[in-house]
Amino acid sequence: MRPEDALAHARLRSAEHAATTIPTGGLEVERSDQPSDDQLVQWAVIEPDLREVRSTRRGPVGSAVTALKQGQLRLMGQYHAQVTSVQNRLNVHLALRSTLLREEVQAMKQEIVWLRGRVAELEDRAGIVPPPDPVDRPSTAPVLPDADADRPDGSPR
Amino acid sequence: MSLVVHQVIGGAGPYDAITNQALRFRRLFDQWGWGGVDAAVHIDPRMGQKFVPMRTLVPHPDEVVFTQYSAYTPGLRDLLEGHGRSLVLCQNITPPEWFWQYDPLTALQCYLGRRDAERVMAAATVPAGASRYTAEEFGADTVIPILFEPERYGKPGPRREPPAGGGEVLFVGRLCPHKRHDSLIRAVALLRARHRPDATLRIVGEPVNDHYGAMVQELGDRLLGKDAFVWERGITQDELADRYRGADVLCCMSEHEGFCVPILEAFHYGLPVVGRPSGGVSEVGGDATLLTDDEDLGVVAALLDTVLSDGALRAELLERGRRRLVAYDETSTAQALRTALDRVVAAAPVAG
Repeated sequence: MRPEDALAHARLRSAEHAATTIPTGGLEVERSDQPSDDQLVQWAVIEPDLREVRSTRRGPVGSAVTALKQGQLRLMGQYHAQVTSVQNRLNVHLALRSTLLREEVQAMKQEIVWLRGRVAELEDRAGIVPPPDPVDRPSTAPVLPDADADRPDGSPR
Repeated sequence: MSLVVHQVIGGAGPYDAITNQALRFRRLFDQWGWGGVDAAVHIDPRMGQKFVPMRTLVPHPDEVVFTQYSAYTPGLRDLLEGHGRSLVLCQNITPPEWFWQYDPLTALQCYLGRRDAERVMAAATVPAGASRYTAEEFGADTVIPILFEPERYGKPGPRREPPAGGGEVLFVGRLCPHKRHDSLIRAVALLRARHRPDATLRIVGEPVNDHYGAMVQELGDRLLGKDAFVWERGITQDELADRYRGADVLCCMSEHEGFCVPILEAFHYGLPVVGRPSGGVSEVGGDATLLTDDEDLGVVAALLDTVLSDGALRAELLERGRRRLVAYDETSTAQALRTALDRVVAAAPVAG
């Protein structure tokens, strides 16, 4: 078979065997624009894993260094627990705030949609011609400088 | 023409592909009688004195700064914007969408890297990409491919026919979400269920994090079984060569690749390649690979079975693969690099 014919042949064979399947479930990679709220909350609680503390060297020297590092961490365990609890407190609050803010913005968006519909309905009833959409009008608000833009004189920031 | 070329990379480490390429480029510069130092922002202590901290680099106006851009590099943009002679070789940066769910810090690095890339490339005297795909994506008109040195890989093993009903599928690359090891495992599971009950899968690579690695391992164990699925990490170059020699086909299901060196490695070891035509894969593999973007993984399974069964097809693919290797031989890359550096000097002559 020529390589150019292999794909068409494979499609036919796959169709022939379509009845033979494999179990579902397990890792199925998905893309996302940003982490979900649930993930943020999960990640907010930091729980360092002692097993991750290890030497990058191999062999007996590496084992000895790993044991030394882990021993030091055990000795300092009480202090580290205190430090992580302070960080966890902040992380959890930030993650929660983020979730609540997102929900509030969502609710406000829905309310705006409803209000716009209601205004349009009342304008229609009263025979009022609505003004142009504010989005299309030139903005009178001051233009804020782009943080990444060059200075007006052309010199790099 | 004698030149001083300083190289700059983000991180220098012993197992890092960009670092190794920078060291090989330095050997080329030495052969050409050129000077310069190699600098990095983050330097692994195991690199010894091979790299100096980027902050210590103060290039003279007639010297060239050459950087391989593959991740967000703090301070690089300022260095390039303040210097008149530079070559930036973009090695591509994975879109962050692939990482947010699995490794948010990597996602952040990718996000910042891609955001900064536009200005880094704009600041270069000559911007370049490691493939035509990368060059176009990041606004460059010059291509300097990966420096592929066959002698690093040792000799290919003797050619052998795959065993009836079996065959080893190999994939080499980091365990990252965009590499789609999950699709690869499912494709091989379908290969076993439909065509070759004794087929096996071996994947080689470091995971983006241990949790992601555990998820891939769990899926492989569940769908293929411990006897038919092997994941290896931290192996040496010689061991990797043995893995290629012992495999029957390379399967790359990655959905984002700037270049994809394992394809050239597979050609070197005489392995046929099956996979997705993503990014630089179709460009590097050309007509020597069997690629499909069909969502039905049964098509990939059938392609794997066909390539394992049909000796004439394998022979034709291997012959084409050898021709692709010639197109990517080290002389071509060295010439492309030298031409780009000549362009830098010609575009930015030093006054006086």
